[in-house]
Amino acid sequence: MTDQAQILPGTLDLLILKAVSLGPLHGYGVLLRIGQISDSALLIEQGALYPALFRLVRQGLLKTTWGVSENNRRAKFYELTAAGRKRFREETEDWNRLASAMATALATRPEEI
Amino acid sequence: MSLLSSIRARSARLFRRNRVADELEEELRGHIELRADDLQRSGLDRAEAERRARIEFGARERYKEECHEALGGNFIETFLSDVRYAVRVLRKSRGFAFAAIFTLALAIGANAVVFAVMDGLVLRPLDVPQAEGLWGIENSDGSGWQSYPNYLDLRDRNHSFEELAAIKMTFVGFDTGNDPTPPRAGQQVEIISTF
Repeated sequence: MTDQAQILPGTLDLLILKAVSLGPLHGYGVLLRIGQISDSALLIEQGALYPALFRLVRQGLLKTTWGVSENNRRAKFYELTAAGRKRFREETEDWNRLASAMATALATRPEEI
Repeated sequence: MSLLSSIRARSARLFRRNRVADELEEELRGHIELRADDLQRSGLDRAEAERRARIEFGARERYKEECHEALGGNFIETFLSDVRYAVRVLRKSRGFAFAAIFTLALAIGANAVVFAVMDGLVLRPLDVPQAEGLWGIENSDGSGWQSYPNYLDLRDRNHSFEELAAIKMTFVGFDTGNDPTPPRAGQQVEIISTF
């Protein structure tokens, strides 16, 4: 638990888009998928996921269908819309650019200035 | 949009909110059950697994509100739910509510008194130059009225004031036209004179 990092504001949306881009998921599935692909290094309070999901639905980035979960419970599944896929690509590029800029900045040594 | 159709649209949105609220409730309950299933598989009994799942989920009511806000709840709904929340919290802690309301009432009352005094003395003084030098003269028996000759004497021997003025009040009758005697209504008329 102690090695988990609080996620930055704004990154939850991108993580959700990534998780759902790998296949339709219900809310709990999104959490499991994020845990799986981040090696459980990112800490998200479970309930905090839902306002983010609803926001993404409102923005037309996700669409929902009711279905049945793997252990036979009725659940709402989320998947990317075309707009969602586009936004996911854009945000991934933005994030990579920011992350590599930060990495370069933080790795600078005195003799390099 | 006419008033009627606007009301209809609003109430339709409220009903839709109910449906959305039911769906949301079902979705969150489903989440907690799925989590409890997993916890149960890891060896907990069902009741403990469900309890743990609810705790892990966090502040459910708050997240539900945030979901509704994410869907763009309109102003009235947000306002009403704020009011409901406020009433619920205040009812839960009556002592605090009473103290808060009492403090507010006291503060408002004190402010009103101070303002009334300031309003009368500072903001709206009498509309005469040097209002603080304006005095009324009474007889020592407390009655305010002087005879006219008395007034003349006071005026002529006055050393205390710059000037003296007299007020005369007369009762007059209003005639309704049907029956001139007696007058139906009396009214006071003020005549201010500086003789």
